[in-house]
Amino acid sequence: MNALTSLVAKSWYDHRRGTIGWMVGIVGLVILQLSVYPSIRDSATDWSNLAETLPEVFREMLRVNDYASETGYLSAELFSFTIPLIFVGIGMTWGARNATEEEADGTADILYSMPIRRRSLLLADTLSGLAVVLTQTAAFSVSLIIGSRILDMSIPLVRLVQAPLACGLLGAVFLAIANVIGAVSGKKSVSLGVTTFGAIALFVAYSLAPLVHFFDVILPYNPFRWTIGTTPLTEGLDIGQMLLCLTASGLLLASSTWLFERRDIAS
Amino acid sequence: MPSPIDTYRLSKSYGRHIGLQDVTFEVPGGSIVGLLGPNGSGKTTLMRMLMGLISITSGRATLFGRPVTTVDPEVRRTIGYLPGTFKAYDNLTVSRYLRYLSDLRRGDFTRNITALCERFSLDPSKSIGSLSKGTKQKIGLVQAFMHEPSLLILDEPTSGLDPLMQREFETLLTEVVGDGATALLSSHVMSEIERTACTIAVLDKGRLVSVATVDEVKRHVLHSIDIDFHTPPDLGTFRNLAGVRSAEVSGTTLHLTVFGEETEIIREASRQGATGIRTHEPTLDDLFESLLARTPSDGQR
Repeated sequence: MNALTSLVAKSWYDHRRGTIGWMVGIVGLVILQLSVYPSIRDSATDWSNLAETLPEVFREMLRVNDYASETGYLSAELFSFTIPLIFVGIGMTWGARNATEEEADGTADILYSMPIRRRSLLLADTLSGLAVVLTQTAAFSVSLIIGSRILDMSIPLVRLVQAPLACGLLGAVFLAIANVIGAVSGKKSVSLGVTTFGAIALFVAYSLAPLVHFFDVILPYNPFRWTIGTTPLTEGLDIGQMLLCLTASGLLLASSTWLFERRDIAS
Repeated sequence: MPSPIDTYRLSKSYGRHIGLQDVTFEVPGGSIVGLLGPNGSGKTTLMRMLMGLISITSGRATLFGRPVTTVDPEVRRTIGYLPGTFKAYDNLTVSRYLRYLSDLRRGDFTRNITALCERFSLDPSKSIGSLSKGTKQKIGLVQAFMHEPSLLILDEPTSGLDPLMQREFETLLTEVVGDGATALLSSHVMSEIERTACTIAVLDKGRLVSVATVDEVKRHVLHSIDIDFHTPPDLGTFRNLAGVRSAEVSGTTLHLTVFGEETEIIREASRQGATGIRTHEPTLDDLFESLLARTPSDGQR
Protein backbone atom coordinates (compact mmCIF):
# COMPACT_ATOMS: atom_id res chain seq x y z
CA MET A 1 0.00 0.00 0.00
CA ASN A 2 1.42 3.42 -0.81
CA ALA A 3 1.74 6.14 1.83
CA LEU A 4 -1.32 8.18 0.85
CA THR A 5 -3.60 5.16 0.56
CA SER A 6 -2.36 3.88 3.87
CA LEU A 7 -3.01 7.22 5.59
CA VAL A 8 -6.51 7.54 4.14
CA ALA A 9 -7.34 3.91 4.98
CA LYS A 10 -6.21 4.36 8.59
CA SER A 11 -8.15 7.58 8.93
CA TRP A 12 -11.31 5.83 7.72
CA TYR A 13 -10.67 2.79 9.89
CA ASP A 14 -10.19 4.95 13.00
CA HIS A 15 -13.41 6.86 12.47
CA ARG A 16 -15.59 4.16 10.94
CA ARG A 17 -18.03 4.07 13.86
CA GLY A 18 -18.59 7.83 13.78
CA THR A 19 -19.09 7.73 10.01
CA ILE A 20 -21.67 4.97 10.30
CA GLY A 21 -23.37 6.82 13.15
CA TRP A 22 -23.73 10.04 11.14
CA MET A 23 -25.05 8.05 8.18
CA VAL A 24 -27.66 6.25 10.30
CA GLY A 25 -28.71 9.63 11.70
CA ILE A 26 -29.15 11.25 8.28
CA VAL A 27 -31.01 8.32 6.74
CA GLY A 28 -33.15 7.97 9.87
CA LEU A 29 -34.09 11.62 9.74
CA VAL A 30 -35.05 11.36 6.06
CA ILE A 31 -37.21 8.30 6.77
CA LEU A 32 -38.86 10.05 9.73
CA GLN A 33 -39.62 13.25 7.83
CA LEU A 34 -40.83 11.45 4.70
CA SER A 35 -43.08 9.16 6.74
CA VAL A 36 -44.91 12.23 8.03
CA TYR A 37 -45.33 13.83 4.61
CA PRO A 38 -48.48 11.93 3.47
CA SER A 39 -50.49 13.42 6.36
CA ILE A 40 -49.12 16.91 5.58
CA ARG A 41 -50.06 16.44 1.91
CA ASP A 42 -53.54 15.35 2.90
CA SER A 43 -54.08 18.54 4.87
CA ALA A 44 -52.43 20.90 2.39
CA THR A 45 -55.17 23.53 2.61
CA ASP A 46 -54.91 23.82 6.39
CA TRP A 47 -51.13 24.26 6.18
CA SER A 48 -51.47 26.91 3.47
CA ASN A 49 -53.96 28.80 5.61
CA LEU A 50 -51.68 28.56 8.61
CA ALA A 51 -48.67 29.78 6.63
CA GLU A 52 -50.65 32.71 5.31
CA THR A 53 -51.30 33.90 8.86
CA LEU A 54 -47.54 34.48 9.24
CA PRO A 55 -45.94 37.70 7.99
CA GLU A 56 -44.13 37.26 4.67
CA VAL A 57 -40.76 37.90 6.26
CA PHE A 58 -41.29 35.08 8.79
CA ARG A 59 -42.47 32.72 6.07
CA GLU A 60 -39.27 33.46 4.22
CA MET A 61 -37.14 33.17 7.33
CA LEU A 62 -38.67 29.87 8.37
CA ARG A 63 -38.76 28.63 4.75
CA VAL A 64 -42.43 27.64 5.13
CA ASN A 65 -43.66 29.17 1.88
CA ASP A 66 -45.70 26.57 0.15
CA TYR A 67 -45.11 24.19 3.11
CA ALA A 68 -47.46 21.43 2.02
CA SER A 69 -45.96 21.04 -1.45
CA GLU A 70 -43.33 18.35 -1.98
CA THR A 71 -40.39 20.74 -2.39
CA GLY A 72 -41.79 23.15 0.21
CA TYR A 73 -42.06 20.40 2.81
CA LEU A 74 -38.60 18.93 2.16
CA SER A 75 -37.03 22.41 2.05
CA ALA A 76 -38.58 23.35 5.39
CA GLU A 77 -38.02 20.07 7.21
CA LEU A 78 -34.72 18.84 5.80
CA PHE A 79 -32.90 21.59 3.91
CA SER A 80 -33.61 24.68 5.99
CA PHE A 81 -31.43 23.76 8.99
CA THR A 82 -31.59 20.14 10.24
CA ILE A 83 -29.53 18.34 7.60
CA PRO A 84 -27.33 21.34 6.68
CA LEU A 85 -26.33 21.68 10.34
CA ILE A 86 -25.60 17.95 10.51
CA PHE A 87 -23.26 18.39 7.53
CA VAL A 88 -21.67 21.40 9.23
CA GLY A 89 -21.15 19.15 12.27
CA ILE A 90 -19.59 16.36 10.21
CA GLY A 91 -17.23 18.76 8.41
CA MET A 92 -16.33 20.62 11.57
CA THR A 93 -15.53 17.59 13.72
CA TRP A 94 -13.43 16.03 10.98
CA GLY A 95 -11.61 19.29 10.18
CA ALA A 96 -10.97 20.06 13.85
CA ARG A 97 -9.13 16.78 14.42
CA ASN A 98 -7.10 16.76 11.19
CA ALA A 99 -4.18 18.83 12.42
CA THR A 100 -4.64 18.21 16.13
CA GLU A 101 -5.62 14.64 16.93
CA GLU A 102 -2.17 13.04 16.70
CA GLU A 103 -0.73 15.61 19.12
CA ALA A 104 -3.59 15.13 21.57
CA ASP A 105 -3.07 11.34 21.41
CA GLY A 106 0.72 11.65 21.84
CA THR A 107 1.40 9.86 18.56
CA ALA A 108 2.48 12.94 16.59
CA ASP A 109 6.24 12.68 17.14
CA ILE A 110 6.46 9.37 15.32
CA LEU A 111 4.04 10.28 12.53
CA TYR A 112 5.63 13.65 11.79
CA SER A 113 9.14 12.19 11.91
CA MET A 114 8.30 10.02 8.90
CA PRO A 115 9.78 11.08 5.54
CA ILE A 116 6.49 12.64 4.42
CA ARG A 117 5.65 16.32 4.27
CA ARG A 118 3.18 17.44 6.89
CA ARG A 119 1.26 18.93 3.99
CA SER A 120 0.68 15.46 2.58
CA LEU A 121 -0.39 14.12 5.96
CA LEU A 122 -2.92 16.92 6.35
CA LEU A 123 -4.10 16.49 2.77
CA ALA A 124 -4.63 12.78 3.33
CA ASP A 125 -6.75 13.48 6.41
CA THR A 126 -8.67 16.18 4.55
CA LEU A 127 -9.30 13.84 1.63
CA SER A 128 -10.61 11.23 4.06
CA GLY A 129 -12.90 13.86 5.56
CA LEU A 130 -14.14 14.98 2.18
CA ALA A 131 -14.75 11.37 1.21
CA VAL A 132 -16.81 10.93 4.39
CA VAL A 133 -18.81 14.08 3.57
CA LEU A 134 -19.35 12.76 0.05
CA THR A 135 -20.46 9.38 1.40
CA GLN A 136 -22.98 11.06 3.68
CA THR A 137 -24.14 13.17 0.75
CA ALA A 138 -24.66 10.03 -1.30
CA ALA A 139 -26.52 8.32 1.57
CA PHE A 140 -28.73 11.40 1.97
CA SER A 141 -29.39 11.58 -1.75
CA VAL A 142 -30.13 7.87 -2.16
CA SER A 143 -32.49 7.81 0.82
CA LEU A 144 -34.31 10.87 -0.56
CA ILE A 145 -34.62 9.32 -4.02
CA ILE A 146 -35.93 6.02 -2.68
CA GLY A 147 -38.30 7.71 -0.21
CA SER A 148 -39.67 10.18 -2.74
CA ARG A 149 -40.31 7.40 -5.23
CA ILE A 150 -42.12 5.32 -2.61
CA LEU A 151 -44.32 8.36 -1.84
CA ASP A 152 -44.86 9.09 -5.54
CA MET A 153 -43.27 12.53 -5.30
CA SER A 154 -42.67 14.27 -8.58
CA ILE A 155 -39.40 16.06 -7.68
CA PRO A 156 -36.91 15.52 -10.52
CA LEU A 157 -34.16 13.05 -9.66
CA VAL A 158 -31.43 15.54 -10.55
CA ARG A 159 -32.73 17.93 -7.86
CA LEU A 160 -32.57 15.13 -5.29
CA VAL A 161 -28.88 14.80 -6.15
CA GLN A 162 -28.12 18.54 -6.35
CA ALA A 163 -29.76 19.55 -3.08
CA PRO A 164 -27.83 17.03 -0.93
CA LEU A 165 -24.69 18.08 -2.83
CA ALA A 166 -25.25 21.64 -1.63
CA CYS A 167 -25.34 20.31 1.94
CA GLY A 168 -22.14 18.36 1.26
CA LEU A 169 -20.45 21.53 -0.02
CA LEU A 170 -21.49 23.32 3.15
CA GLY A 171 -19.86 20.53 5.18
CA ALA A 172 -16.69 20.87 3.09
CA VAL A 173 -16.45 24.61 3.78
CA PHE A 174 -16.70 24.09 7.53
CA LEU A 175 -14.21 21.24 7.34
CA ALA A 176 -11.77 23.68 5.72
CA ILE A 177 -12.48 26.39 8.33
CA ALA A 178 -11.91 23.95 11.22
CA ASN A 179 -8.77 22.72 9.43
CA VAL A 180 -7.24 26.21 9.45
CA ILE A 181 -8.00 26.85 13.11
CA GLY A 182 -6.65 23.41 14.05
CA ALA A 183 -3.52 24.00 11.98
CA VAL A 184 -2.85 27.28 13.78
CA SER A 185 -3.82 26.33 17.33
CA GLY A 186 -2.93 22.64 17.42
CA LYS A 187 -5.88 22.15 19.73
CA LYS A 188 -9.04 20.30 18.75
CA SER A 189 -11.13 22.00 21.43
CA VAL A 190 -10.11 25.45 20.19
CA SER A 191 -10.83 24.52 16.59
CA LEU A 192 -14.22 23.00 17.45
CA GLY A 193 -15.17 25.87 19.73
CA VAL A 194 -14.25 28.65 17.32
CA THR A 195 -15.79 26.90 14.31
CA THR A 196 -19.00 26.11 16.19
CA PHE A 197 -19.30 29.74 17.24
CA GLY A 198 -18.62 30.82 13.64
CA ALA A 199 -21.16 28.36 12.24
CA ILE A 200 -23.86 29.49 14.64
CA ALA A 201 -23.13 33.16 13.94
CA LEU A 202 -23.20 32.60 10.18
CA PHE A 203 -26.39 30.57 10.40
CA VAL A 204 -28.13 33.23 12.50
CA ALA A 205 -26.95 35.91 10.05
CA TYR A 206 -28.23 33.82 7.13
CA SER A 207 -31.59 33.12 8.80
CA LEU A 208 -32.18 36.72 9.88
CA ALA A 209 -30.99 38.27 6.62
CA PRO A 210 -34.60 38.93 5.52
CA LEU A 211 -35.12 40.87 8.78
CA VAL A 212 -31.77 42.54 9.49
CA HIS A 213 -30.31 44.83 6.84
CA PHE A 214 -26.67 44.29 7.90
CA PHE A 215 -27.01 40.50 7.65
CA ASP A 216 -28.53 40.97 4.22
CA VAL A 217 -25.55 43.11 3.15
CA ILE A 218 -23.02 40.48 4.23
CA LEU A 219 -25.10 37.60 2.86
CA PRO A 220 -22.94 37.22 -0.30
CA TYR A 221 -20.02 36.23 1.98
CA ASN A 222 -22.00 33.64 3.92
CA PRO A 223 -21.35 29.93 3.13
CA PHE A 224 -25.00 29.14 3.97
CA ARG A 225 -26.00 31.50 1.15
CA TRP A 226 -23.53 29.88 -1.28
CA THR A 227 -25.04 26.45 -0.68
CA ILE A 228 -28.52 25.94 0.75
CA GLY A 229 -29.36 29.61 0.12
CA THR A 230 -29.51 28.93 -3.60
CA THR A 231 -32.60 26.74 -2.95
CA PRO A 232 -31.10 23.80 -4.86
CA LEU A 233 -34.16 21.59 -4.39
CA THR A 234 -36.24 23.87 -6.61
CA GLU A 235 -33.65 25.83 -8.58
CA GLY A 236 -30.81 23.33 -8.89
CA LEU A 237 -27.18 24.17 -8.13
CA ASP A 238 -25.97 27.71 -8.78
CA ILE A 239 -22.67 27.14 -10.57
CA GLY A 240 -21.29 30.58 -9.64
CA GLN A 241 -22.03 30.14 -5.94
CA MET A 242 -20.73 26.59 -6.07
CA LEU A 243 -17.43 27.77 -7.58
CA LEU A 244 -17.21 30.46 -4.93
CA CYS A 245 -17.69 27.80 -2.30
CA LEU A 246 -15.03 25.54 -3.81
CA THR A 247 -12.57 28.43 -4.18
CA ALA A 248 -13.03 29.50 -0.56
CA SER A 249 -12.56 25.91 0.62
CA GLY A 250 -9.46 25.53 -1.55
CA LEU A 251 -7.91 28.74 -0.20
CA LEU A 252 -8.66 27.75 3.38
CA LEU A 253 -7.13 24.34 2.78
CA ALA A 254 -3.98 25.84 1.20
CA SER A 255 -3.63 28.19 4.18
CA SER A 256 -4.00 25.37 6.65
CA THR A 257 -1.26 23.28 5.00
CA TRP A 258 1.11 26.27 4.90
CA LEU A 259 0.47 27.08 8.56
CA PHE A 260 0.61 23.48 9.70
CA GLU A 261 4.00 22.89 8.08
CA ARG A 262 5.51 25.74 10.06
CA ARG A 263 3.94 25.19 13.45
CA ASP A 264 5.77 23.54 16.33
CA ILE A 265 4.38 20.11 17.09
CA ALA A 266 3.43 19.74 20.75
CA SER A 267 4.95 16.75 22.50
CA MET B 1 31.36 13.38 3.64
CA PRO B 2 29.17 15.70 5.77
CA SER B 3 28.68 14.86 9.43
CA PRO B 4 25.48 13.05 10.38
CA ILE B 5 24.70 15.86 12.82
CA ASP B 6 26.17 19.35 12.75
CA THR B 7 24.73 22.29 14.64
CA TYR B 8 25.91 25.87 14.86
CA ARG B 9 24.62 28.24 17.57
CA LEU B 10 21.34 26.37 17.53
CA SER B 11 18.75 28.15 19.65
CA LYS B 12 15.12 27.73 20.52
CA SER B 13 13.04 30.10 22.53
CA TYR B 14 9.38 30.11 23.49
CA GLY B 15 8.66 33.76 24.14
CA ARG B 16 10.86 34.64 27.09
CA HIS B 17 11.63 31.04 27.96
CA ILE B 18 14.82 29.69 26.44
CA GLY B 19 14.70 26.03 25.44
CA LEU B 20 18.13 25.86 23.85
CA GLN B 21 20.85 28.47 23.47
CA ASP B 22 23.79 28.60 21.08
CA VAL B 23 24.38 24.87 20.90
CA THR B 24 27.25 24.09 18.58
CA PHE B 25 28.38 20.52 18.21
CA GLU B 26 29.09 17.82 15.68
CA VAL B 27 28.43 14.11 15.75
CA PRO B 28 30.98 12.29 13.61
CA GLY B 29 29.91 9.35 11.48
CA GLY B 30 30.06 5.91 13.07
CA SER B 31 29.98 7.21 16.62
CA ILE B 32 27.56 7.08 19.53
CA VAL B 33 27.09 10.33 21.36
CA GLY B 34 25.33 10.29 24.69
CA LEU B 35 23.31 13.34 25.61
CA LEU B 36 23.12 13.93 29.32
CA GLY B 37 21.43 16.62 31.33
CA PRO B 38 18.94 17.16 34.10
CA ASN B 39 15.23 17.45 33.38
CA GLY B 40 14.47 20.58 31.38
CA SER B 41 18.07 20.94 30.21
CA GLY B 42 17.07 20.90 26.53
CA LYS B 43 17.85 17.30 25.48
CA THR B 44 14.39 16.60 24.10
CA THR B 45 14.16 20.07 22.57
CA LEU B 46 17.43 19.46 20.72
CA MET B 47 16.31 16.07 19.43
CA ARG B 48 12.88 17.33 18.36
CA MET B 49 14.50 20.24 16.54
CA LEU B 50 16.78 17.83 14.69
CA MET B 51 13.70 15.85 13.66
CA GLY B 52 11.99 18.96 12.32
CA LEU B 53 9.16 18.68 14.83
CA ILE B 54 9.82 22.14 16.19
CA SER B 55 11.26 25.10 14.36
CA ILE B 56 14.70 26.59 14.86
CA THR B 57 14.61 30.08 16.39
CA SER B 58 18.18 30.92 15.34
CA GLY B 59 21.36 29.16 14.28
CA ARG B 60 21.40 26.15 12.02
CA ALA B 61 21.39 22.39 12.07
CA THR B 62 22.24 19.97 9.31
CA LEU B 63 21.81 16.23 9.06
CA PHE B 64 24.23 14.68 6.56
CA GLY B 65 24.78 18.21 5.23
CA ARG B 66 21.09 18.86 4.61
CA PRO B 67 19.50 21.73 6.55
CA VAL B 68 16.88 20.74 9.09
CA THR B 69 13.51 22.46 8.69
CA THR B 70 9.97 21.63 9.68
CA VAL B 71 9.07 21.48 5.99
CA ASP B 72 11.64 19.20 4.33
CA PRO B 73 10.95 15.52 5.05
CA GLU B 74 13.67 13.99 2.86
CA VAL B 75 16.32 14.42 5.50
CA ARG B 76 14.33 12.07 7.74
CA ARG B 77 14.36 9.17 5.30
CA THR B 78 17.50 7.58 6.74
CA ILE B 79 16.84 8.44 10.38
CA GLY B 80 15.46 6.23 13.09
CA TYR B 81 13.80 8.25 15.83
CA LEU B 82 12.40 7.31 19.19
CA PRO B 83 10.71 10.13 21.11
CA GLY B 84 11.04 10.51 24.86
CA THR B 85 7.44 9.51 25.37
CA PHE B 86 6.66 6.87 22.78
CA LYS B 87 3.00 6.26 22.05
CA ALA B 88 1.53 4.06 19.35
CA TYR B 89 -2.06 3.54 18.25
CA ASP B 90 -3.78 1.40 20.86
CA ASN B 91 -6.43 0.19 18.39
CA LEU B 92 -3.87 -1.51 16.13
CA THR B 93 -1.89 -4.70 16.52
CA VAL B 94 1.91 -4.48 16.68
CA SER B 95 2.32 -5.89 13.17
CA ARG B 96 -0.33 -3.63 11.68
CA TYR B 97 1.28 -0.57 13.28
CA LEU B 98 4.73 -1.48 12.00
CA ARG B 99 3.31 -2.22 8.54
CA TYR B 100 1.61 1.18 8.58
CA LEU B 101 4.92 2.91 9.39
CA SER B 102 6.63 0.84 6.68
CA ASP B 103 4.05 2.14 4.18
CA LEU B 104 4.78 5.70 5.28
CA ARG B 105 8.48 5.01 4.77
CA ARG B 106 7.61 3.53 1.37
CA GLY B 107 9.41 0.25 2.00
CA ASP B 108 8.94 -3.37 2.92
CA PHE B 109 10.85 -4.10 6.12
CA THR B 110 9.04 -7.33 7.01
CA ARG B 111 12.25 -9.33 7.43
CA ASN B 112 13.84 -6.76 9.73
CA ILE B 113 10.61 -6.36 11.69
CA THR B 114 10.36 -10.10 12.26
CA ALA B 115 14.00 -10.31 13.35
CA LEU B 116 13.71 -7.32 15.69
CA CYS B 117 10.45 -8.57 17.22
CA GLU B 118 12.10 -11.92 17.94
CA ARG B 119 15.11 -10.18 19.39
CA PHE B 120 12.99 -8.10 21.77
CA SER B 121 10.57 -10.97 22.50
CA LEU B 122 7.71 -8.96 21.04
CA ASP B 123 4.55 -10.72 19.86
CA PRO B 124 3.47 -8.89 16.67
CA SER B 125 -0.06 -10.27 16.80
CA LYS B 126 -0.86 -8.52 20.10
CA SER B 127 -3.05 -5.47 20.26
CA ILE B 128 -0.96 -2.46 21.30
CA GLY B 129 -3.61 -1.32 23.77
CA SER B 130 -3.14 -4.52 25.79
CA LEU B 131 0.62 -4.13 26.22
CA SER B 132 2.63 -2.85 29.18
CA LYS B 133 4.70 0.35 29.04
CA GLY B 134 7.94 -1.61 28.67
CA THR B 135 6.56 -3.72 25.83
CA LYS B 136 5.30 -0.61 24.04
CA GLN B 137 8.81 0.82 24.36
CA LYS B 138 10.07 -2.25 22.48
CA ILE B 139 7.74 -1.34 19.60
CA GLY B 140 9.31 2.10 19.64
CA LEU B 141 12.74 0.55 19.34
CA VAL B 142 11.67 -1.79 16.52
CA GLN B 143 10.21 1.08 14.48
CA ALA B 144 13.38 3.11 15.02
CA PHE B 145 15.68 0.33 13.80
CA MET B 146 13.49 -1.49 11.22
CA HIS B 147 14.58 0.49 8.14
CA GLU B 148 18.31 0.19 8.88
CA PRO B 149 18.79 3.92 9.44
CA SER B 150 22.13 5.66 9.00
CA LEU B 151 21.40 7.88 11.98
CA LEU B 152 19.53 7.06 15.17
CA ILE B 153 18.13 9.76 17.40
CA LEU B 154 16.89 8.07 20.54
CA ASP B 155 15.42 9.94 23.49
CA GLU B 156 15.61 7.82 26.65
CA PRO B 157 15.54 4.58 24.63
CA THR B 158 15.68 2.15 27.56
CA SER B 159 12.96 3.83 29.59
CA GLY B 160 10.66 1.12 30.94
CA LEU B 161 12.77 -1.80 29.66
CA ASP B 162 13.86 -4.59 31.99
CA PRO B 163 17.64 -5.08 32.48
CA LEU B 164 17.74 -7.98 30.02
CA MET B 165 16.12 -5.91 27.27
CA GLN B 166 18.33 -2.94 28.13
CA ARG B 167 21.35 -5.14 27.45
CA GLU B 168 19.76 -6.38 24.22
CA PHE B 169 19.25 -2.79 23.13
CA GLU B 170 22.86 -1.92 23.91
CA THR B 171 24.07 -4.93 21.93
CA LEU B 172 21.86 -3.97 18.97
CA LEU B 173 23.05 -0.39 19.08
CA THR B 174 26.69 -1.45 19.17
CA GLU B 175 26.06 -3.77 16.21
CA VAL B 176 24.38 -1.17 13.99
CA VAL B 177 27.03 1.43 14.81
CA GLY B 178 29.63 -1.22 14.04
CA ASP B 179 27.98 -1.50 10.62
CA GLY B 180 28.43 2.22 10.02
CA ALA B 181 25.41 3.91 11.61
CA THR B 182 25.64 6.88 13.95
CA ALA B 183 23.62 7.43 17.11
CA LEU B 184 22.65 10.27 19.39
CA LEU B 185 20.94 9.05 22.52
CA SER B 186 19.84 10.69 25.70
CA SER B 187 19.70 8.96 29.01
CA HIS B 188 19.44 9.48 32.71
CA VAL B 189 21.47 6.34 33.31
CA MET B 190 25.17 7.15 33.43
CA SER B 191 26.21 3.49 33.24
CA GLU B 192 24.17 2.99 30.04
CA ILE B 193 25.84 5.94 28.35
CA GLU B 194 29.20 4.74 29.61
CA ARG B 195 28.68 1.26 28.14
CA THR B 196 27.57 2.44 24.71
CA ALA B 197 28.70 6.00 23.95
CA CYS B 198 32.10 7.18 22.80
CA THR B 199 31.36 10.81 23.54
CA ILE B 200 29.19 12.52 26.12
CA ALA B 201 27.54 15.89 25.51
CA VAL B 202 26.17 17.56 28.60
CA LEU B 203 23.37 20.08 28.48
CA ASP B 204 22.29 22.32 31.32
CA LYS B 205 19.61 25.02 31.16
CA GLY B 206 19.62 24.88 27.38
CA ARG B 207 23.38 25.31 27.04
CA LEU B 208 25.95 22.77 26.03
CA VAL B 209 28.37 22.71 28.94
CA SER B 210 30.67 19.92 27.85
CA VAL B 211 31.49 17.59 25.00
CA ALA B 212 34.09 15.01 25.93
CA THR B 213 34.94 11.34 25.63
CA VAL B 214 33.63 9.04 28.33
CA ASP B 215 37.16 8.57 29.73
CA GLU B 216 37.76 12.31 29.86
CA VAL B 217 34.49 12.84 31.64
CA LYS B 218 35.17 10.11 34.16
CA ARG B 219 38.57 11.54 34.87
CA HIS B 220 36.99 14.80 35.82
CA VAL B 221 34.10 13.58 37.89
CA LEU B 222 34.07 13.67 41.65
CA HIS B 223 33.61 10.18 43.00
CA SER B 224 34.08 8.40 46.27
CA ILE B 225 36.38 5.55 47.25
CA ASP B 226 36.31 3.45 50.42
CA ILE B 227 39.55 1.69 51.41
CA ASP B 228 39.74 -0.91 54.18
CA PHE B 229 42.88 -1.37 56.31
CA HIS B 230 43.87 -3.64 59.22
CA THR B 231 44.72 -0.56 61.29
CA PRO B 232 43.69 3.12 60.93
CA PRO B 233 45.61 4.62 57.96
CA ASP B 234 47.77 7.76 57.89
CA LEU B 235 45.14 10.34 56.93
CA GLY B 236 47.60 13.19 56.28
CA THR B 237 49.37 11.31 53.49
CA PHE B 238 46.10 10.68 51.65
CA ARG B 239 44.93 14.28 52.11
CA ASN B 240 48.08 15.50 50.35
CA LEU B 241 47.67 13.28 47.31
CA ALA B 242 46.71 14.94 44.00
CA GLY B 243 42.99 14.76 43.27
CA VAL B 244 41.85 14.05 46.82
CA ARG B 245 39.17 16.55 47.79
CA SER B 246 38.28 15.13 51.19
CA ALA B 247 39.43 12.28 53.40
CA GLU B 248 37.87 10.82 56.55
CA VAL B 249 38.49 7.75 58.63
CA SER B 250 35.89 5.72 60.43
CA GLY B 251 37.44 2.80 62.27
CA THR B 252 39.83 1.17 59.87
CA THR B 253 38.03 2.38 56.73
CA LEU B 254 39.18 5.42 54.80
CA HIS B 255 36.51 7.40 52.88
CA LEU B 256 37.90 9.57 50.07
CA THR B 257 36.27 11.99 47.65
CA VAL B 258 38.41 12.05 44.55
CA PHE B 259 38.60 14.14 41.42
CA GLY B 260 40.42 12.60 38.45
CA GLU B 261 43.03 9.83 38.43
CA GLU B 262 43.16 7.24 41.21
CA THR B 263 46.57 5.69 40.46
CA GLU B 264 48.48 7.55 43.22
CA ILE B 265 45.79 6.76 45.76
CA ILE B 266 45.82 3.06 45.00
CA ARG B 267 49.62 3.00 45.17
CA GLU B 268 49.58 4.69 48.61
CA ALA B 269 46.77 2.45 49.84
CA SER B 270 48.79 -0.58 48.81
CA ARG B 271 51.88 0.81 50.56
CA GLN B 272 49.89 1.23 53.80
CA GLY B 273 48.59 -2.35 53.56
CA ALA B 274 45.01 -1.88 52.28
CA THR B 275 42.83 -5.01 52.43
CA GLY B 276 40.07 -3.84 50.08
CA ILE B 277 39.06 -0.98 47.82
CA ARG B 278 35.50 -0.05 46.79
CA THR B 279 35.03 2.60 44.12
CA HIS B 280 31.53 4.08 43.95
CA GLU B 281 30.16 4.83 40.47
CA PRO B 282 29.70 8.54 39.99
CA THR B 283 26.04 9.41 39.79
CA LEU B 284 24.60 11.81 37.25
CA ASP B 285 24.46 14.38 40.05
CA ASP B 286 28.20 13.91 40.65
CA LEU B 287 28.81 14.35 36.93
CA PHE B 288 26.77 17.54 36.65
CA GLU B 289 28.28 18.92 39.84
CA SER B 290 31.78 18.32 38.53
CA LEU B 291 31.13 19.61 35.04
CA LEU B 292 29.25 22.69 36.14
CA ALA B 293 31.91 23.41 38.75
CA ARG B 294 34.55 23.69 36.04
CA THR B 295 32.33 25.48 33.51
CA PRO B 296 32.51 29.28 33.34
CA SER B 297 29.29 30.89 34.47
CA ASP B 298 28.61 32.35 31.04
CA GLY B 299 28.38 28.85 29.68
CA GLN B 300 31.43 29.10 27.41
CA ARG B 301 33.02 25.79 26.65
